[in-house]
Amino acid sequence: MEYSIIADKLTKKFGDFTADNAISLKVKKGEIFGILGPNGAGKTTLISMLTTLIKPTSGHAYVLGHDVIKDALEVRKSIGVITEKVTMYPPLTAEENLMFFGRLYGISRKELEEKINEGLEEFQLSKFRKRPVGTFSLGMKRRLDLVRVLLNEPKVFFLDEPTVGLDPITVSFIKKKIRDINKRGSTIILTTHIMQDADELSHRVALIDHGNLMACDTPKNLKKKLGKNATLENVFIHYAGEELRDETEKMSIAPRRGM
Amino acid sequence: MIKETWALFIREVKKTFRNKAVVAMMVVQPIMWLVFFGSSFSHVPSSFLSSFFNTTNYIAFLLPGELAASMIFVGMFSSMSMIQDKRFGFLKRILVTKAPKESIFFGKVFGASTRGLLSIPIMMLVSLAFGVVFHWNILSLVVWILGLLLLGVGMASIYSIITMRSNDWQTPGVVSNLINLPLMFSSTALFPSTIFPGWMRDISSVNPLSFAAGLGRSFVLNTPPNFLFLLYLVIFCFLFLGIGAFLSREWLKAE
Repeated sequence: MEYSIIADKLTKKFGDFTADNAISLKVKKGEIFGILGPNGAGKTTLISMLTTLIKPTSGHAYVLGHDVIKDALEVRKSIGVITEKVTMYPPLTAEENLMFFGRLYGISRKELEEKINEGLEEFQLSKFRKRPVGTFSLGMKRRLDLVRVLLNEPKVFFLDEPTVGLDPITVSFIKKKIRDINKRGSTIILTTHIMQDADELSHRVALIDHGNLMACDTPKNLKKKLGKNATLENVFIHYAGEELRDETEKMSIAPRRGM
Repeated sequence: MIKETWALFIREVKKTFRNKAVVAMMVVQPIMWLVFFGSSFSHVPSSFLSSFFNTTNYIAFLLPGELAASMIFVGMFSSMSMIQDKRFGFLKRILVTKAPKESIFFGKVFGASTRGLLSIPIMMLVSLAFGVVFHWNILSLVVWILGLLLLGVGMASIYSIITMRSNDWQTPGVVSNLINLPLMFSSTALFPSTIFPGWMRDISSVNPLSFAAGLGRSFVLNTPPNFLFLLYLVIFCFLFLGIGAFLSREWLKAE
């Protein structure tokens, strides 16, 4: 299988509102694939369908060859998801949080302990392992989140705004880790509003707006189409327009109804 | 599924017992019930108490009822925990692991029920301080605790079923007001059904609280436990646990 992800006319409707409209794309194995789009464009809905959190209204999607509807469990076994909101249990220590998620991944205790030790070491959190996560800074939580997601050794990572709100040192650290993870052979789906991150990290990017796939190519090719000195931000505005996107009530409520 | 359920259960228990304010409330609330409500009959003549409650100490009658009532409130804990997990994105994280949705449901239900069991030793100790005498019939005690656990699991299941499709903080409170108070007042938790009007006696006779309270009174008043009460609670518990597990496959959503 050459592709990690195949989406074929993937559509999600919430009542009259179409969040994603027949999106078709293919993500190659080992690729860092950026998904860009303004607020309410349909990125989160697309990711939610690919990670089995919501069912498509129509169309098909496959992650590592597994159908996201029929083989949802197989899909979940092979993916790692990091959302913008860092969600670890504040009263539990770093180690307890990792143990908890490791058990949900079905990892044996001995193997889990080894992985936790390695992960905390790699992300420079070993000395904080016994501290409640509620006392961690955002950067530490984000690093711990990466340790968590790596426990499962996923083949496909979904990273939603992994660097937002972090200081430049942590951003640099996280980006390096994303590249390292990718070098180990994992496919990474990156959604971000930070064009610089998308440009630096992504092999290819997809631009989504109003639930439609507007463009999909390498950042270099997309920029080239606009001119010599074009940036990815120019590309973004070219496809999305300059009109401010205040999320309508319908847009913000619609996904919840269906989820 | 057992491993995942256990991990989720342990997490629920740790989350509860690491919150000092919650633990303090869990200890104080039942004591206040016994102290304030239990003392309301303190000046009533013994003969009156004996004829109505089969004991001269109302607290001895109230204790099993109050513990049964406290177990119906565990449902609210389970419900609140579900909403919290949705609102803070925890549930989304769990739903993208290989943990079956049924495990998530079971973890919530068992975690909340365990939380409810903490009231038992506290209330028993407070009752001793109020002059209640226990005869320590081990069989009756085990049957009583089992009955309370079954009631708690059944109620937590009902609440979790209701909350599966909601992410509104107000839901647990609204449901609690809708279910708990009528359920408590239409049971023999606080008063014997002999003083109820006929229609309320009918409700009381199928009210799971009455059965859990009845099992407790067998221990406190030293009478043989009614195993039919226990059977009823087994059916009640597994019925709603089964319904909840089945519905969780479709209804349990990340937000």
